[in-house]
Amino acid sequence: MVQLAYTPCAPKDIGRTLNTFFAERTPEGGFNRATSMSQILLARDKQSLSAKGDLVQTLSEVRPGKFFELYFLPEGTALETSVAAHCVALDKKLHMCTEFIRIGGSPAMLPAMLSIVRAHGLTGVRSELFLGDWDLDRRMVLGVVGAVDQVMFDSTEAKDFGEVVGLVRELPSAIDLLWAGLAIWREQVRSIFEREILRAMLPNLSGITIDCQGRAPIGAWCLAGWLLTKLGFAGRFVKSGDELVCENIKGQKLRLAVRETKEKDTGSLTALSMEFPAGKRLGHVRFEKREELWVSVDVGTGYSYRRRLEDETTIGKLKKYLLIGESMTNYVRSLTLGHELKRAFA
Amino acid sequence: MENSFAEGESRILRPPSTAVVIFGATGDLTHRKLIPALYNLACDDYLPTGFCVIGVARSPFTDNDFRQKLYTSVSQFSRRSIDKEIWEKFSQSIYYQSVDATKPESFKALRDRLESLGKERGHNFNYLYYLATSPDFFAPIAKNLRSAGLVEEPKESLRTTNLVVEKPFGHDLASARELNKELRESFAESQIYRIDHYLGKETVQNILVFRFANGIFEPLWNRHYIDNIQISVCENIGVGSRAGYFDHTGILRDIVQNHVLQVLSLLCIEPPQSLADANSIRDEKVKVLRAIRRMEPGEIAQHSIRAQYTQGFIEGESVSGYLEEKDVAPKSSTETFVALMLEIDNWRWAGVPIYLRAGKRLPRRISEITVNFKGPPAALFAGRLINELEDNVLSIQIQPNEGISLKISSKPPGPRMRVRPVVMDFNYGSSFGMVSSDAYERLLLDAMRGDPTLFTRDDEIEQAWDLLAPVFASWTSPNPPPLHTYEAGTWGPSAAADLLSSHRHRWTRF
Repeated sequence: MVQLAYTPCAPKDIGRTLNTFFAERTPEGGFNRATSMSQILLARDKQSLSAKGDLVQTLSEVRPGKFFELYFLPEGTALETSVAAHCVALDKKLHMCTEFIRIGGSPAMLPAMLSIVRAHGLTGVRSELFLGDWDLDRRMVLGVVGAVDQVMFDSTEAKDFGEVVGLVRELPSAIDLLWAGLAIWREQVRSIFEREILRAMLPNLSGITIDCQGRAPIGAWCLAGWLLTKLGFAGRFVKSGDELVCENIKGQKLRLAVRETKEKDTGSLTALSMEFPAGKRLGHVRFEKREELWVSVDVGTGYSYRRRLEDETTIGKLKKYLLIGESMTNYVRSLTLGHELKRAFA
Repeated sequence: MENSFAEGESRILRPPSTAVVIFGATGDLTHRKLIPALYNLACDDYLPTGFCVIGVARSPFTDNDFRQKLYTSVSQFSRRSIDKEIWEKFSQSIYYQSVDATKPESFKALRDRLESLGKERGHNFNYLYYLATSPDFFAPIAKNLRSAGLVEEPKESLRTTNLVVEKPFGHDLASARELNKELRESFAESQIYRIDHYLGKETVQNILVFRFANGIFEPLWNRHYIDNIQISVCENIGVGSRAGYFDHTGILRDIVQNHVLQVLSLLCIEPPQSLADANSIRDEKVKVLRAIRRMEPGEIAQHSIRAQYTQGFIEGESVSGYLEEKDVAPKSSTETFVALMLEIDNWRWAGVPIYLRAGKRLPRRISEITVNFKGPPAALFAGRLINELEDNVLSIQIQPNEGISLKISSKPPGPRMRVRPVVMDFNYGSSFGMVSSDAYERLLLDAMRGDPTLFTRDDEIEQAWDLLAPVFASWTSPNPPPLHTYEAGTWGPSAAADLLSSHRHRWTRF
């Protein structure tokens, strides 16, 4: 890799510093300044930004283009600006280069920071914001959101479900890596019900149980929201003991239980069971997270298989999303309904 | 009943547990394409969690013998060099079973092996049977799989059992219909995946995205704005070791009947109801194939050209002519080059000639679609500049370098009003920062996922044969049209150029 290390420069010299670097590369080097995307990473402060090297590298390698790293200083009117470039060899004759512009300023200087983004952002291409931290001032976030087409974040670690829902409502387009992390569950539910013999049993579904280790995380509620939406039970639900009784427009009822263990902290989703009457007993389709995701069917006929778990870190989910993509069509509806379900259980 | 969990969701990334059973395990296709493709899927971590490959052929190998042979093949043919750690893990999923495809009892041993592998590896495998064999074995293998209890009914079972069949699918319309009928005696149509590897190429898949994800092109994609379309599949190699097979087949069957017509149908379809529904797309493809005007016997000579290469030079090296190749009959009349002019009789394409050409021993290996647009209606540029105006051309390069380019006219810097053509380019490497995967990787992954979108349906195959039937009939009649010749290393016979010049068109110059 050929690179320009982070070089401090005045805001007015950003373009010149980068141009000089590229002008110095030999004409035969085939150094393409990538133009596919403008990206912004927003971090709480410089220390937080420094800890996000892997995130920056992942974002910039998979989507080469212009990369702005914004962080906040406690106070003052000074701006800290520096530039860098990373060029990756695609083959013997071609390098693809991402340009980095790092900008630090106090919250009051956000308009000045954004003016630099607007001056140097790529024209005619999509721009995207990655929220690097959750404890950012909402006004700051929304100030930057106005400059981009899409916002990406990972709400897995968010402490306040309501805050996530509120934020998503104000975004033009949201990519939540939490949703990408739930893909394995949604995919396996979809996959097992590709079998006609099981699809035919869905009208008789009597209950859904979601198990969590610790307190149910946002992902568990989101998954519950997705299931109920897909099954047509997104309308009414009434608390009954430790369960919700959900009713669809035909008057059919479905039980929903979300079971937590006693730990106080937000935990993880560990299992999903879908229960069907099977003769005189209750059969099930069960998805259980152990060292792999175990899928087992017991509805008279037994069947099981395992599916390797995906990397659930933010970087892992991000890499998968950037390389492969994930449909967000059902996300907002599932998240919103999941929030309603959580409130209904409370 | 549709699967409501699928709506609005991405396609399943990692297929369910699958045992891929490859018949023809010692053959070229397995070693050059299939196993390298599976290895690359392993490198990208796309293989199912429960996965194994069972190579099946008559020869008596052990599992280890087979793995060693495959190591050599993957080293040679994979687009990536071998990573020892990944290979070690991947190769432990590879097994071998000696089976005589013509003997039903042999399949019982295969069944026992599959069951014991499932228990040993702790997975309920779906079975994907890949027939990388001569077409003579397709029907017997399918029948023997069913007899051995290795084919499940889709509506009654939790295990899926699907069949992948390689081209050629039949030799003509009658044999294709017969083969379809024979296969359907053992497998449902929904379980049959007919492979055309061109459909696995990124640029070919990109045709649909290009057409339907870009608002600017679809309004122009019709007879009002397009002057002619050309599809060229050019190879610089000769028949080589395939001569024995090729001499009975010819390039019209080998390349045009499948790859070229598949590309043509995608290029010319109406927008499907959904890109997520395999049958929506395939329904539209069949409509295009049906709408292509069938040639009358008297039209064959004016609409088709066939030729054979003679001695010449490829990149400076002398090469022999077709009739001098080993295993080619001395008086063979098999064509190594074909050019066709087709017309599609529908609202969108009426009056737009579609020119197809395919040939061996041409100067370069290149497969490209060229969409030639009509010129502007009035010449605003005075005097001699009128002659310098070139029509806009959209080129979709399928191989060797995948990409799309658009030729437009522009004014070069200077004090005078002049016009020069310039090319706006997109290629996969510099735009996406990554290299495309091999077509077989995508197709094998889709077959394991149970997604038939990129595989051809029975009626598509039959329509393609039906379309070319008059040409075959003419060429084998007592008074066939002439078999031209062309020097190896040139772009085909002059008659091929005449086919277009009579319509005031000319072939794209590569």
